[in-house]
Amino acid sequence: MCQMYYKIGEKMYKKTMMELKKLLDHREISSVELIKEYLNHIQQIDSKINPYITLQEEKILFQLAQKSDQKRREGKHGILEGIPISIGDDICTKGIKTTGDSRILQSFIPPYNATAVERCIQEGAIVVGKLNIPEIGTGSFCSEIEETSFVLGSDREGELRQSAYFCGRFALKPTYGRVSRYGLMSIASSFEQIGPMTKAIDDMDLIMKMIGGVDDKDPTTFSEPWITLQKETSLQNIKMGIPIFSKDIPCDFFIQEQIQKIAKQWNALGAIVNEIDFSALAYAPLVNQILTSAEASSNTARLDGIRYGYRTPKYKSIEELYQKTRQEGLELGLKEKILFGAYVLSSSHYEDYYIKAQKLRTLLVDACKQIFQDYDVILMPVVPFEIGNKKEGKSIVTKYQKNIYTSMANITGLPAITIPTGYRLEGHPFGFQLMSSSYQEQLLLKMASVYESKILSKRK
Amino acid sequence: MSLEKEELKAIAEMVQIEMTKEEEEIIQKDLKCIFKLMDDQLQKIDIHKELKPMVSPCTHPNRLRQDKVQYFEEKEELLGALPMKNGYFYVPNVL
Repeated sequence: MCQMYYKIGEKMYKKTMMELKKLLDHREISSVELIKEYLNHIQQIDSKINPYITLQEEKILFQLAQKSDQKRREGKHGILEGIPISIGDDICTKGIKTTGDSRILQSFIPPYNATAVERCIQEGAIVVGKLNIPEIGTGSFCSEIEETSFVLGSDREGELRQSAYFCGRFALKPTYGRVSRYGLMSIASSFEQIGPMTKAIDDMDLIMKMIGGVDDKDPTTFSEPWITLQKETSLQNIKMGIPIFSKDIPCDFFIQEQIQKIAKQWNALGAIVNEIDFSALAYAPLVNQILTSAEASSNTARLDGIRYGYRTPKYKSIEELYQKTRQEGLELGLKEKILFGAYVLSSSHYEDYYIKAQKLRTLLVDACKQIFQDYDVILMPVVPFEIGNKKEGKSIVTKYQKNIYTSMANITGLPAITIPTGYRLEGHPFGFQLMSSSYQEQLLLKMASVYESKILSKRK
Repeated sequence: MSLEKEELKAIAEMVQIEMTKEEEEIIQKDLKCIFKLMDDQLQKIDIHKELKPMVSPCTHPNRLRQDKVQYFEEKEELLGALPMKNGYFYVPNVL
């Protein structure tokens, strides 16, 4: 008797990608049924949390699903055939509005797909819609949602990993150059990477294998192959460091407590856990603030109302056209970032801020290299302050420091992963972060997989 | 470093951003606070003159593609992104 994977009453949108793949492969569900259930679910949550900026037209979705079912019947299906995916709205999708959640790009429909998206579509994935993000990737996705089984998002200062933290998901910021940036809206080019947010580690392994690798359209991509995850249960000889928290490396006391608990879990799983001097972390907000703003001020110069996007209706001169278009089309947060960036790039402040930050970036890379001579991974919080905490988002100091633990991976180009703990704190899921040296994503996935099978599976 | 109103206005003009009075006040207040935080940190650390500024986190050489002409098939979609009026591309008046 053949094994059945579908149980009556089960919610498809709660399933992992591999679970959906099994159901589709065994013809226990069709892509059309899957799309129907997703659309119903999205309709229910849309009015409450509004996760999507743009949803693909229903008619097109059903056509794509029917094609997928047909391909499956003919045995010509791709690895992700008929599986719905969601994409962050700062990643280009051919024929689907891509606004970066900015008024200035409110009507922009890209004529091409980002390479990462194209590679998923080539394998049969169906793009359901574009997820809400703060303007052009300057923050994390909204709230905890049961979105599609996986999401492709951008990570400039830790947005993707922070979104995963708030949603109780896994998210990977790959080594710089692992995934092509072609089709990702450039804001901070030397910081940003596209990565997956998933419900399970097996899903992440498969997606990374698919979206990673050399792309002629992005010269920073490298050919280091993705080695498929080898499931292991032992973590012997893995050395893990935890930064010592201080006034300069802030962390709410109760998050510190959780990190200590998680360290004990890793210890019980066989890792050797030690406190480390990671004082370089204190400078991450400074380097991040100066360099991402400088890159953003230059990259956003193209949003001028001439080439594409929003254009102010009333103007008397070309200068007024530029100024009014940008005044009306950009949000306050991005304006502030552009102004700050232009200031640190101006001739009188270039040496004092921009060059110093670039030198500090070298120091931070050296500090990480030093640590990774003795340790395999660094265990860190994802955010230093808890969501819902009065401090969060209100004071400029906390705004400045909120990416302290995530931005380090973007500054140095190193890979880092968010792992959910499977329990809720302060009303939302809780998680932590692991960072490793360059090209060591497989180690991060191996560790996440051990945590998933030994700790998370017991909580389900 | 303190950021004066006039300096902020000059920078805004340079990057072609018009600000409302309210935005100007918020941005000036925020940036003053950020500069204070940064200056305090920069004073504490010794950055050697010889240290090399880091431009990119790439640890591998860039892969440059061949300088070959490629055909772009989605011409219609590309042109569709431009503003149109009565069948013509609508460009701003620059004179």
